[in-house]
Amino acid sequence: MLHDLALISPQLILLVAALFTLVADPFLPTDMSRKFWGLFGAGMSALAIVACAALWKFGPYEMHTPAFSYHLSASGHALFFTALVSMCAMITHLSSPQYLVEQESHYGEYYALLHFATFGMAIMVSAESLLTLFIGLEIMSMSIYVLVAFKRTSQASVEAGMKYFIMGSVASAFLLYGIAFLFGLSGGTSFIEIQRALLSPKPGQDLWLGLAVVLTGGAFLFKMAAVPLHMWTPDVYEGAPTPITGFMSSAVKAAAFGSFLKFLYAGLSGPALASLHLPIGEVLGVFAVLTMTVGNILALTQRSIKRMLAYSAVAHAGYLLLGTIATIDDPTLGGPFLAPTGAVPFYLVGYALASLAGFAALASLGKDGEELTTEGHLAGLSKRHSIAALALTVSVLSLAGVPPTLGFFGKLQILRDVLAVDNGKYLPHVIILVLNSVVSAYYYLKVPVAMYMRPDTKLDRQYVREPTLTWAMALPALALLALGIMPGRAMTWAIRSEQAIRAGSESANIAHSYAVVKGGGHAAGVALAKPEEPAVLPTR
Amino acid sequence: MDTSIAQNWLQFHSLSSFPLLTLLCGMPLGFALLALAIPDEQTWAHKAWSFVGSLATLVVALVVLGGFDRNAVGFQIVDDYAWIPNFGARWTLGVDGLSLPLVLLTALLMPIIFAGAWSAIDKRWKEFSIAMLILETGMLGSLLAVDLLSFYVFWEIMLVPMYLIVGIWGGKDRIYATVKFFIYTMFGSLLMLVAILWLYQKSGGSFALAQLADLHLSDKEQTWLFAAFALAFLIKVPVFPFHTWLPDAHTEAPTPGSVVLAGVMLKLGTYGLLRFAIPLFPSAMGKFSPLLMALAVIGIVFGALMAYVQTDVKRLVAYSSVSHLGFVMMGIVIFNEEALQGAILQGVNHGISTGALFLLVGYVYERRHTREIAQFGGIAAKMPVYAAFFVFVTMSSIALPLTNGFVGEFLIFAGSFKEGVQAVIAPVAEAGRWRNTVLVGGGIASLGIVLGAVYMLSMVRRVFFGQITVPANQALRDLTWREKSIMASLCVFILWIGVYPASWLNLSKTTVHAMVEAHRPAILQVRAPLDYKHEALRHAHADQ
Repeated sequence: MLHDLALISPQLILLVAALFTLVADPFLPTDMSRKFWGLFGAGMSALAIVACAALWKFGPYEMHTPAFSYHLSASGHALFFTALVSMCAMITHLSSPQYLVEQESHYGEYYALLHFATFGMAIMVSAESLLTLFIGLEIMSMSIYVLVAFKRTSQASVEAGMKYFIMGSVASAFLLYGIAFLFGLSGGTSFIEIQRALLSPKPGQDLWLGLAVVLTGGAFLFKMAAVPLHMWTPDVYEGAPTPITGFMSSAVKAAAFGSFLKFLYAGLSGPALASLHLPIGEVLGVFAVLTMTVGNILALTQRSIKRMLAYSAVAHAGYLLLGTIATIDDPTLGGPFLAPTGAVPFYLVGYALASLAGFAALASLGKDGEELTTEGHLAGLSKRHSIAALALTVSVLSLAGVPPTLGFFGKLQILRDVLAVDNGKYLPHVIILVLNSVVSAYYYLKVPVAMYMRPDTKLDRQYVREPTLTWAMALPALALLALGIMPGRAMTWAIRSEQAIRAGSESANIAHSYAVVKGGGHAAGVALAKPEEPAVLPTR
Repeated sequence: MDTSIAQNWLQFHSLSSFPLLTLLCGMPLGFALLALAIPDEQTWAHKAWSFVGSLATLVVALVVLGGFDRNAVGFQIVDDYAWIPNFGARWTLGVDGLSLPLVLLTALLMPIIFAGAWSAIDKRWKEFSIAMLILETGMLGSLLAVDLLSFYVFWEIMLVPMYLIVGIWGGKDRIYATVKFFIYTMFGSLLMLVAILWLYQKSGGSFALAQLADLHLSDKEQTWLFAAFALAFLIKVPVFPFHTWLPDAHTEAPTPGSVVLAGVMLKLGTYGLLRFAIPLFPSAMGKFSPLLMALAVIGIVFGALMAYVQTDVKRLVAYSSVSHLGFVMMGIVIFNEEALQGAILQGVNHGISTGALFLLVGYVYERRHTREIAQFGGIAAKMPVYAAFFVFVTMSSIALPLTNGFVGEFLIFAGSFKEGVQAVIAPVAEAGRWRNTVLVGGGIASLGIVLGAVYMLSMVRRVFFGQITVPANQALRDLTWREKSIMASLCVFILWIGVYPASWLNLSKTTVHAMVEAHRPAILQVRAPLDYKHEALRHAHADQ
């Protein structure tokens, strides 16, 4: 039991932070509360990252260590994504206080909710069973619904919260319905039980399995904001408090993709899914192309930068979905299995940092309950607030994928890995991605154009420059540049996180031993990544 | 021919124990980072600092020149480190006879550009000097990179500072021009990125140029990959019909931006063709040769005609760039030793002369805030020194003997007539289509030289001679000592290369020889199979 608790220490840290904030806030005077909670939140999130790093480094947990009877695990995958969402939370905690004060909505509960949301995500990505995954998802979603509507006085914010709540609930219901089918098929909810049950396909299960895949897949697409389930994104992203928008586009997306990969490869992968004859690669490809194209085209016409970035978040979901294709390995061996190329987790790091920097910079512009984030408001910003302008520029350049930012390497890796699949089967998709990048450059460029090249709008205002907010935009921007010059380390982590999923996937291990017996090879992507797979079957 | 010998020029000749080339391309970046610490309002400090930074870079470039062995084949003074192990990407910088002239040109032009910018740039010097220094790092890095991924990274790094320079310090339509420039260039280079990744997959995970050049690619692959590479480079050059961003960007850019654009960045397009596109896909080059020849010749004539009808001096010079780069392209397409030597030298020449022209146009713009030809006339009387420099640079631009332009264009034409002359000697049917193409193309291109003289001289006449018709011109001051010394230093190079080109030609002689040895047979085999047999026979004969 104690051992199990140690394994989930990052999650526990987040939970303790949430509860402490909730309990202690009423006792803090207002001005103390304004100064303290942001720093405290950032500190606790950083502590969670440290815990992840310690488990990653010193524990035998790097690959796959289940805890609490196969409900949670401290696998490399779980640790990577927990650290990633905690990093998002840390920056969000730093960027929030000044924004909330300016928007006249500063309450201590905000920070508690933020911790709860992060805790939910951490559970979600560490889940080893569908029920834990669902509970994590709900903890996250509930907190985010409230956070989106946190500016009570703003109509847009409340409307956004309401919209997100209703649509999100439908998505959750879908997910739960899909889980029910899987439970019916396998008699269990943990990934390992599902995989075992599905290893030998039973006659007549295809219909139910297909339904389960469609329902759960739909729920994940919703959380990723993929077309056609993206409709909520612009309104919610625009209405939500700006730091929360940054948090959603970074952490929620990371959690959604992280748990999707885990679910797809630890839960569903294997002979059963292969027996459906569902061409997962092609299906994901269609969604990816649709998502990036629709997102980019709609982003072209936006005047509000916040809304524009919301559509760009849709487009990035498309890039990430395309990256997911590259993880599909060798369906001939009874797959699909995971090819641990690390493209998706690595891309998420760059995308999260860019979103955080960008939205933190936008958060610094607001005043007296107004957000002031249209293109016009940004005009001449480089003279008024040079740090915000610089951070926002680095952010959009990274989103556009211009070197030497991390965004470039993220895109590069997706392109490389997708090209490697079946000797360039997805070349058209890759070219579409590239053309999409050109389109996106056009609207991303509007931001530096406005800030650096248009004359000052004579807003004539002095910006409050809380150091916390300045750091919130400077840190991710600096990280984008630093990792853009030396991306090797982050890439290794990302690959190891995916190797952990594969190591934890029972059917993949079985197939691996098949492959060894038959002398079959893997797809090119795997050969490049050189996975070190422990051929140990997890036992109960 | 043994391929390993043929590919020699892509191998490392000598590794460097000290990361000299990393220092060379990192130097401007270091100065840019330190410039962040200087307060915004200390304009003079920024002017001095950036000038010193570019001078320091020049010193390092001269050290590189000192350590360069001009008789060696292959990359020299190579820095080779692991960069991104998961990608198999390496940090490989090297210099050879192809890149060294352009490295020197870049390092020489930058101090001149900074000095010229002292009056041309009147606001936000901190941002300007930082952008310009980062741009220099990008340009030097693109010229030195031997690993395709690091090349691509440097290639894209050039984009952002240039975009800011045009967009912040440019003229009236700067935002349109700069966004057009950015999107055009990015479009081309992203397709190149896909092609690079394709090669990377083919090679089993390497970006090293020598390794990729050894790949066996099918005809179809060669064609498409060459197209993707060439598109990126042709846009940058720019070759007709991809040139439309250039007049806008040049006209709107501030003087230093135009100088760096014309002086160095355009050359990176031709450099990329020579360094990457042709060695990687020689037979596709053979296939595309007639088309590229046609585009080059159209560019020469079209650029010249467009230049002739311009009313804005700067736009005229911009179109003259299209025409001049056509000559360089022609030399590259011909791909024999004379033409290549000429193309490389003409790249340097164009950087010096057109850079000087843009500076000169900038001087008068600073005084009169207009560049309309009609607004001038007779100003030689008021600005005699200025007029003298202008006429001198014009002579270089129209390739008068004893100026640098003559040497470059002469070599290019010598090469192309050598290539095409068989069509005159032999019966036409036997000469083959390629030689006829070269002969006709060369003929039309030589018309371009005449046209060059027409548009430049008529502009000079209208601006400098006759009576002063516009009263504002009565008050024009002549050049200051700073402007004079900038022009004088450029004119030294114009004369030097014009009178004694050997010191520059020798830098690239060995490399060019190796390039031709390595790739000409494959090119010729596709575009002129008869000639290929003929040359192979002759080689065999010589060997006996």
